[in-house]
Amino acid sequence: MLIASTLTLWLAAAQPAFAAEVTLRDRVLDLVSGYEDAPTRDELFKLGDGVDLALIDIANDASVGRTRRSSAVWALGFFPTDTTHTYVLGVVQDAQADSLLRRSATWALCTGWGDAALSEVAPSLKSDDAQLRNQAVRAVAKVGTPAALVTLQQRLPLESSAMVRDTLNASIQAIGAPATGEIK
Amino acid sequence: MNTLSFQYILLGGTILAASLAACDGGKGDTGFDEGLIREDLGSTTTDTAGGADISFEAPADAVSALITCGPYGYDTLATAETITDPNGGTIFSYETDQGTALRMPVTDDLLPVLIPQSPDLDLTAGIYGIRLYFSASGAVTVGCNALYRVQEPTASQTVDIHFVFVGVDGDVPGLNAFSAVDNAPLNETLAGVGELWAGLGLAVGEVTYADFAGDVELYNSVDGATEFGNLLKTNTSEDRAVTLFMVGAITDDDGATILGQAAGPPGAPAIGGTSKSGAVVTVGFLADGDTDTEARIIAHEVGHFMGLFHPTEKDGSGHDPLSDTPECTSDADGNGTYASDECGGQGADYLMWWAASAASVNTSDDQGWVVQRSALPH
Repeated sequence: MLIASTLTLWLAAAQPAFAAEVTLRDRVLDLVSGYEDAPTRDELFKLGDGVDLALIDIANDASVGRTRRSSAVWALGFFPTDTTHTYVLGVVQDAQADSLLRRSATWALCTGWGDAALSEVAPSLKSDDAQLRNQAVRAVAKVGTPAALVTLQQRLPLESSAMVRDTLNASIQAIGAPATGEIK
Repeated sequence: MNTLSFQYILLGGTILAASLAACDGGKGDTGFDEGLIREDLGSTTTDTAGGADISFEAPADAVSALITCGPYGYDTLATAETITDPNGGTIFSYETDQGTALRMPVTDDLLPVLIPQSPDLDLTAGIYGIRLYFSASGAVTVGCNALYRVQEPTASQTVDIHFVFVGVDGDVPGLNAFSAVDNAPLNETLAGVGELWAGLGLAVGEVTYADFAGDVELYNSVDGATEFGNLLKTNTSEDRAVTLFMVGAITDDDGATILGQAAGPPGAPAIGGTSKSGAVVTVGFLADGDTDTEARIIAHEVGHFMGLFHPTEKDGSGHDPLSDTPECTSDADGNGTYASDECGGQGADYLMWWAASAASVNTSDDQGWVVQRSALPH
């Protein structure tokens, strides 16, 4: 895979400003290894340049385990570049890819590209995998725009899963509803 | 709820019973309840400032008290604002919690308050007062209950585990309640949990298995706080066992994949039917053959369930209330994240560290002191 091999060379050449034995990839892997918390945009951005490529490197590394790889794919939504777009779109369009990775790639598209990604997540919304469809609905709902609302409304009459229909209905209702409840 | 599921019981490597069990739990169920006292503390309603007061009287022979108040729904958050001891002294203040020997969760739907959380502040007999705070704009009325452990802790207790498989036979081929007892990776995982808990003075006790009898498609991927709470509510057992819902994936409200999620800390051990009645763990690492990490997730999450906190939070904003666990104060690159490599020897090598790594295996005497007083081990 061209992206993966290019990344390996880049990561080997570009030693980040950490202690010699700690690489940027190590730091990113640490963040996607949180038990209960995913990495935040702020945490990743503060690691400096090259985080997006480190995330792709982790996402491609089968030895890492799919749960952490999935988190890495999801976090690519914070880095909307041509490179990351090509990568996550490729995962979404790859029907043979692991379902967890496709779910996270769908989220990444919606997080990173918003309205522009709505047509690109169509494979996820139409997938035979109900879990993938459900995540696609959630991700589109998070976009929260009028176009996202239309996408969800169009999907509703076609949806066969009761679970996904429930998510669709709740999402359609929720778009525009204000958040409530903050601790002082 | 009165759901039916096949339940298998493993003790000492032998199947003792396989029965069609009614999993509606309930007080006085077949579980080991000796050593616990349950008390209904009545209800309380918030004032115009969002506060509410409750009190409880710790029995003389109690070694821990778990106060739970709720339910108040997922849109409201609550915490303890202050706690006073039988002498009238303030032993906890939300504004200055890091200076006390207690930490309180800020949590939805049901608030658990555990005393003690550190050997530096033991439970004493007498009347405690708790000032609760709720984020709701209107009045909130909650019911409160106390669960006292009156069983002296020992350094050789066991923790019973009840696995509930939520349609994971597609994630880990063939894994269900019937096959679990012979599932080698799961047994390796359990052995790993036992090794990690040994330093806490705990061992894995009776292990039981069930297939989830509810909406498997919905809960195979637990998405967000509401689904998490609703799944835990399906555990109505009040046995002294931690119920672990083994699911295909866990995502937060923004769709991010996480490894596990326990109610709390602390959770609501031996209390059924609440949104804090257990923990959820992904089988992803089991599916990948990484039983070490799977074991670490289970041991870590049950640690939270029993009242353990991270030694240092990822953003350095807080530390556990224990004196003998290292606090990481070294954000060497100043980026606001207390990375595992920055905190080597300062907590990153502990089981309760915020990130899962192969080096995170240590436990402390104080952590053992806390979990041995939980209602869970016996």
